[in-house]
Amino acid sequence: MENNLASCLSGTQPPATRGADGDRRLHDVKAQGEALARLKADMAQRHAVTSPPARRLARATTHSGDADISARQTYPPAANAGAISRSGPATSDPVARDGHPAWLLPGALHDVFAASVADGPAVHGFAAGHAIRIAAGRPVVWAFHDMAGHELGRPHGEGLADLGLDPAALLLVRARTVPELLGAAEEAARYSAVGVVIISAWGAAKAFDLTASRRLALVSARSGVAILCVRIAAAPTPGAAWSRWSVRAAASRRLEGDAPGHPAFSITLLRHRGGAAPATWILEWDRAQRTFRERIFR
Amino acid sequence: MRNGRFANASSDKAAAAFRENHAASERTLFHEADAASHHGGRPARRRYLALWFPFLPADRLRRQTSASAHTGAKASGVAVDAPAPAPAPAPAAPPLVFVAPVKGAMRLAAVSPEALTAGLRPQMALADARALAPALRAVPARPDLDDAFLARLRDDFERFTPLLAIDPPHGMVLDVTGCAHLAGGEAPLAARVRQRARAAGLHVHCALAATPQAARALARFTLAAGDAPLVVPEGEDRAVTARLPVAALELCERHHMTLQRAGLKRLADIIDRDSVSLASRFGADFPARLARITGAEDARITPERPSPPCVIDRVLPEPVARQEHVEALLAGLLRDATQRLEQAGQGGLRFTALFYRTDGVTRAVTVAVSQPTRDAALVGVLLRERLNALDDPLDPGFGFDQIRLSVGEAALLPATQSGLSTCLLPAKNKLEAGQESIHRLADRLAARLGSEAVLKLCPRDSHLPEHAAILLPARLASAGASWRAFLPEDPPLRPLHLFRTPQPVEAIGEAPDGDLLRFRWRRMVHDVATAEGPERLSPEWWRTLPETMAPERSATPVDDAKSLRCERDYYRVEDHEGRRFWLFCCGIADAPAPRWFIHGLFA
Repeated sequence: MENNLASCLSGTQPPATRGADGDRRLHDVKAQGEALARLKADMAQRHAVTSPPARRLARATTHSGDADISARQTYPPAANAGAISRSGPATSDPVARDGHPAWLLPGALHDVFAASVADGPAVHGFAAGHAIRIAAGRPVVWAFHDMAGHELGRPHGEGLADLGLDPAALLLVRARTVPELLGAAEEAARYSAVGVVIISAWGAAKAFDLTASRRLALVSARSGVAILCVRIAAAPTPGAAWSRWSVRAAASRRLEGDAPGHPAFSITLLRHRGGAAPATWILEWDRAQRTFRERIFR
Repeated sequence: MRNGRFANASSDKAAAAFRENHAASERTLFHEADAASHHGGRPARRRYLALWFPFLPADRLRRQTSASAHTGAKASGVAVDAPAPAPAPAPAAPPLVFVAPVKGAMRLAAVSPEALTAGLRPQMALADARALAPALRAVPARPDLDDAFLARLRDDFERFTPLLAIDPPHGMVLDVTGCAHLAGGEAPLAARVRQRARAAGLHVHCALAATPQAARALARFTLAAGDAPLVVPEGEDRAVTARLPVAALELCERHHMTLQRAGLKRLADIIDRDSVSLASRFGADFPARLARITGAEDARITPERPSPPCVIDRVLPEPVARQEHVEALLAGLLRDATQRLEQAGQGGLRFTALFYRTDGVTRAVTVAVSQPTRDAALVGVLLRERLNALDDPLDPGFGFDQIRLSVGEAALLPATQSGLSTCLLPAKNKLEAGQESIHRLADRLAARLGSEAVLKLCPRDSHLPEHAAILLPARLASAGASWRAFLPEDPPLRPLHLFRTPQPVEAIGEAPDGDLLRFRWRRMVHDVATAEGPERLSPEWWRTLPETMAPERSATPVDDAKSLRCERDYYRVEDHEGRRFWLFCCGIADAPAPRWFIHGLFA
């Protein structure tokens, strides 16, 4: 765990580009520098605000009435006007404070694979959670393959709102084919006003090659827009992504009355350019704090 | 010196002539304003040009066969400048008639000019026609093809005026108010229209008058109309239309016979009669009908498309075919359009570029933006994006001889200060700038993928999940209601994915109290680990349509669609592998037992 934390923090530099022209490389280095600076400031802020006892307290009061009210007041994210800062609700982010590699790096491409066909909704939930965390109120573009819409059903506004993603901040782009999907995502990632771009693709397609992946990674590094590339019914393939994950649904923690609880995911890190070792975690989405919470699972 | 002066003078003259031509070719049609300014503020007298194609089916068939015989060209083109056969009949052509069954007997629906000279008339029985002209060729009538052909003609004739309507059968009416001076007067305009129709191989009758009905009657019931366009000078409608036969009133058979028996042969015979007695004899609408034909009462046509707020045309002396030329012309048109919009304090919402090919094919490319704009470069980029994304690319053929840019929809857009770079602006403006760039992104993606592909989720005030959130094109998205409030400690109670039609689930094991223990969905068996429910959702009786009116797609089984119209008990179900489903159980009226459906999937 500590090992992972260290590697994640030290490895926050996005991939070094070997672009042919120096100008582009300069751009990337600049973007990397900015991303690093942002990240450091972010981390410093988080550490400064919550010392360990205070953190425990914050966790303890999560389910008290006061915390509920504050969470309700901050919803929807668009309501806190001007929330375009990258740090988001910094004080209420336990997993991020712990420096978890599952905290996806902004301004990079991340591949997220569904462990099996039936884990499509889980992997979308995982991506939506990260989109909420990274975008922090900025718009989210969700490029949706038509095939995924047929198989899983279309995204439901109430469900997204229930997860904590304001549907008003979501732009849904339907694409018939994978090249259209990738083109739309690339176009969207060029706009730095966008918080996160999610790509949902169904099936293995030739269009998902190294070139496509590298293009997306470069665009993302240049504009600072995170791209989460969700692949369902496809085997993990090599690519230029900063991290690669496999996600499956996990049994939720029961609520009183033996009711199904908050969404839980079993995530496996397959590859991380920052050097984090492959491992599996069980995460639970905490809607009130809009963050993932790690579940100790023995 | 002398030579130089002469050269200068001649070049000046040439430049003046060029300017004049250029001015004529850059037509901006502001219809109402134009007409009003011509007449110094008093209500403008409108002018209508009626066209009638008396042998439309025969002309269509001849064009089709000659096109496939000569060039094999696409039949979709109107092919005006293509080597069209002369309208004059070839000497050996057999009489051609179009037949359709009427009350069990084959009757002539339309005839060709040769058949007309042979004495064949529409409504004649085919057997009688064969007796008159044994060599005749009978073809089944195809009114649908005739209509499609007429619609293509309409698109092509839109180059003369933006206001035109199809005038069945086989005719159209052009509102040419304020357009005639562009062709050098009404008679030259009518001649040009007729020339265009004749070049396309069509027989045409045209007449220009003050009301659509007068123009129609003159085009269809004046014997001499085939020779030259009939232009009724302003104010003489009554005198000219008085010479028309009473058939021009197009009354029903009975009333027509009554007039004939009374010895009233021409409109002149009834124009001066008392309108009260005419109304009591021939129906209340008879005097109005008469007044419209004689030009005493003003009436308007309903154009196929509403007149756009701003239209700019480039009529080109030579057709252009190269893409860079077309793009340069478009850029110029956009510049002019945005200038005009700026003068009006407006911004465009929808821009349509119309390309008129020399052979009569018209192609329209439309882009829409979500916020009113006057940014010519932005619209240019969107148009290029759309042109590149077309499934069948823009084919210039022999070139475009006219390009039109019309701003289909405009909204107020006050002038804003520009030039301050975004870093100097306060945070609020920065957020607005971010919002604006999201609108641009949506417009660009919509131009590339189609407007139905870029969607926003909009809340609606309904407790039913399928109505509570609807997907609308991003351009049309509006905040109607707010999203459902929730308690922060609750898990999500609505699924992340919702099926359009609930999918049936086979319940394998059910507890005695009706709870689901095991079910099969998509050939996979799921064991229920835990469930929460039921949450009962009743149909909205104040909105439910009768069964026969409810839209039902044939692809989905009737039962699945029916399940949305009955009372549903929803359960949040988790299986042993941690997958969460939103299932419901409902009793369908004619099914023996309650049935289970899956409506959504939780994260």
